[in-house]
Amino acid sequence: MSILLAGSMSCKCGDKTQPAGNAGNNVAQPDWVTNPDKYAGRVKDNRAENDTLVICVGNQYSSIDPQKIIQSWAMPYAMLLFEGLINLDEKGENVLPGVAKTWEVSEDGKTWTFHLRDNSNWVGPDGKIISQVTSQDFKFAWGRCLDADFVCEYRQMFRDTQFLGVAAYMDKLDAAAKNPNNKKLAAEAEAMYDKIIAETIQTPDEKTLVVKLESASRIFLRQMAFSVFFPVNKTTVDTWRDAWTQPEHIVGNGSFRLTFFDKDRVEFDRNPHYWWKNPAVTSAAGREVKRIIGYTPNNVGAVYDEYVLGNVDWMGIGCTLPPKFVSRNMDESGRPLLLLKDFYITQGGRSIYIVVNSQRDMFNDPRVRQALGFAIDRDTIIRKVLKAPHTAAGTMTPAGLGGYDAGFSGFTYDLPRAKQLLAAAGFPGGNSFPSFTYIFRKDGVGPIVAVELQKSWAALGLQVELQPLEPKVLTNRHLEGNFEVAAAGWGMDYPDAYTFLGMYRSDSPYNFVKWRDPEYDRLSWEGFTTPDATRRFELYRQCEQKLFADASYIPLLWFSIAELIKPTVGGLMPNGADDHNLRYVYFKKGEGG
Amino acid sequence: MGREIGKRLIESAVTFFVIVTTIFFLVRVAPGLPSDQERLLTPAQKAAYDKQHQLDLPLGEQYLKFLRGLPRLEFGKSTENEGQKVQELLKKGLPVTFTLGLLTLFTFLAVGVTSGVIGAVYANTKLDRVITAAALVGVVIPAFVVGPMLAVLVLRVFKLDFSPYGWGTPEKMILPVLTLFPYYAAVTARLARTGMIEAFGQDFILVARAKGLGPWSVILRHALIAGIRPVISVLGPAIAGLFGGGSLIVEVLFNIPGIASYFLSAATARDYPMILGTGSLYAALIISLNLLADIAQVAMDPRQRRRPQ
Repeated sequence: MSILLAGSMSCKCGDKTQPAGNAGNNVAQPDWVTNPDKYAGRVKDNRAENDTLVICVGNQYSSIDPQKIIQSWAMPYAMLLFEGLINLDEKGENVLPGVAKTWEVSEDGKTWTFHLRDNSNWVGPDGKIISQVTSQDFKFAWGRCLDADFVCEYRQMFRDTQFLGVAAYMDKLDAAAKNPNNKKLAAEAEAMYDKIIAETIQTPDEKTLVVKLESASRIFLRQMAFSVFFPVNKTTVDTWRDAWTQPEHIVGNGSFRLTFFDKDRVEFDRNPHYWWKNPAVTSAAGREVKRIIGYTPNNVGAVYDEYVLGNVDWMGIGCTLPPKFVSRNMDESGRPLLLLKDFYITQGGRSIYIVVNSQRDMFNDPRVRQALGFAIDRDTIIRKVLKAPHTAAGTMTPAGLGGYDAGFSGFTYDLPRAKQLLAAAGFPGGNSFPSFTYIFRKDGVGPIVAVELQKSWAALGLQVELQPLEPKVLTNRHLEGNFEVAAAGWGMDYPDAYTFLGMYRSDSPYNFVKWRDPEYDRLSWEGFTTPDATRRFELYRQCEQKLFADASYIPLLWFSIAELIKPTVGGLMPNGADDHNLRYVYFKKGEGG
Repeated sequence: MGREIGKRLIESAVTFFVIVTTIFFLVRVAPGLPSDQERLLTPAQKAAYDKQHQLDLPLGEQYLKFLRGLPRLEFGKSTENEGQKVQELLKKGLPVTFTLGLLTLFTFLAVGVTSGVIGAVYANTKLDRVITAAALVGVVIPAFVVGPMLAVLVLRVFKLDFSPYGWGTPEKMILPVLTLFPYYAAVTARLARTGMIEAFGQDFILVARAKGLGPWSVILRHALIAGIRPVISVLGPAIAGLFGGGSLIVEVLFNIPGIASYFLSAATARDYPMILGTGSLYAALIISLNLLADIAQVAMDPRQRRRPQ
């Protein structure tokens, strides 16, 4: 799950204005260059009158309640139904006003004041305005997420954006949970909660919201576009409880309303009371989208067939092209052979990495762990085996994230070096090294990658057993540290390296092997909180070097996403972000309908 | 006969009880907890999660809660479908799965029995050999091959402007049924053929013919009842296979919003209420249909009724 910064990461490889291949005059052009229309998905003839956008971004979500959202592909839907203090633009880059018309921050960066607009309204299931959105709606929503009894998976965001008192409060909650008989801890936590509600989130009047932070936060404002910070209507939530998000009850302030919800799809109608107007529509350059249907299928391949039939306008996020389609259409250098008008490849921020359990005797020598990392030919795995436009990862953070890069190549494919390291650790040629088990997810690319890793480590003379596991079982093994070598994955939460580096701090639950380095903790936090970018990047680089030297966590690759977008659709940027705001979408005029 | 039915009813109830109890405890033994999400829960959030879903109660209490809710089909709230009662989700999906299952049932019975009868009547002719060969193919090729093959035929070979996916209109039922019925039709055909041939050799058929009844009258009014006995006897397991396995494949393949796909997703997600809900429902469905098949068998053949001692 992630919020990705668009510009620095995207590769709009399916640029419609440039046909693929060379434009040399005497060379026979491939068929898909000379006849691109033959390969484009069909566009239905009656689309001229059609005002319904049909999309697929993943299968059915667990919850659309902004404070309960788990799946990244639920985000576009949440952004249709609700609006937070700010919005991001189409590319997910710049901050625009949302419910907050204007805002200012104090000199020390610790106090943010938001001024809410008059024309952001709660709209009920009947499509009528109920009331205006107020600052108390934000306080209520945020208070829910922080409440001890409420399961709000993204509560961590409040901590990452440094809401005053939240870090200490969350630690206190954990202490209370670990010691359920100690009532004092629970009482202290409750007192801290009350203080946060009273002092950290202030509502001097209905249209003013004041937020206090521990210290200046670079990511605070941008993260206000994230769903966990959306307001919710207290009356609706209190009345209907966990049924409040059903179409017959839901109250939102977004550009669309939820009209239908079922296992296989969700439907939305335009909210006529939404304050923002799409300039593409008002300028008559485009036609308005009046209705949105989101398929939530189990079988993504079926959606691809629907796309080709002309019944679907966008396949993205969690409903992307079947791997076979992509691999059939890539050459070995990672270039898409088949550039449909509709086909876009975007670098996502989702990674796979390997965890080597340094707590186990066999792996307590860092040279052994490093050997594992250098023995993997990531490029071959990606190009020849997966045949996908993914990127090899040598360091934990992808290059270009928030302008930062690790500054060194980290784990490259270097078999001689790997052998040397293993020998130096006392296991030349893998002699007398015990066999070990590699556990991984049984779905997706897990099994294919596992086989390649097994081969890579066999080249060192190591014997590896493979054990595919269901996702929750794998998570369970991670949490308990019950593994020798394991696959793991992560996606960005915000466009800063700390979203990755922070995972390996001593106090992070994602630090599965319990690697403890107080210096690392100090460096990473200082980097995250310092406003000086140069110093920050330097501190982050030191962190990367430490991770690299320790080699308990070995990066593997970064996924890219293959999306399909109909040429008749405008305002939808294939930027790899999981949070496309569909309010920008419109139908282009005069193109096939 | 009332006593036999009564006996079988009690047996069915006991079977059902054993099944749901086994599911209840077995599912908790499996590794992986419902709260094991990729985005890890802090200890405090896990405590809140368990409290919300009543997983913090002692196991015995959870079990009793489950039993108490069972008669009213109250399974609690799904952990994967936030805030939605399992009962509601099943209510929405069950008609779909049931319709699909029944349609397939009627289709395979009609096609299978007809083919079997014809094969028996024209035994060892070319027609019979064709039917037998078709039946063999039907048995051998699994549904998860037939389904995509049909989809390819419709979309890529014939390039019809028709989407076989989803549910809601009559034509969307065609491909799913076509995918599922061949296997069962094939089994039915072979069994019916054997049963009919055996029936033809019976004395009472000889008597009927001797009485001067026409051949088709003999076949349909006298032999058929005896001939389809083998079909009825496997109807129970066939229905179990159809609803338990076949409909799952087809619902996932064609994106049909029935309850079969909940079966699979709930298991992976360790959604205990949903697992129990779908499990109980399926157990009840299959046990009932088995019971009906048993009763039909008994009703159709006086020789099978148990005699009191």
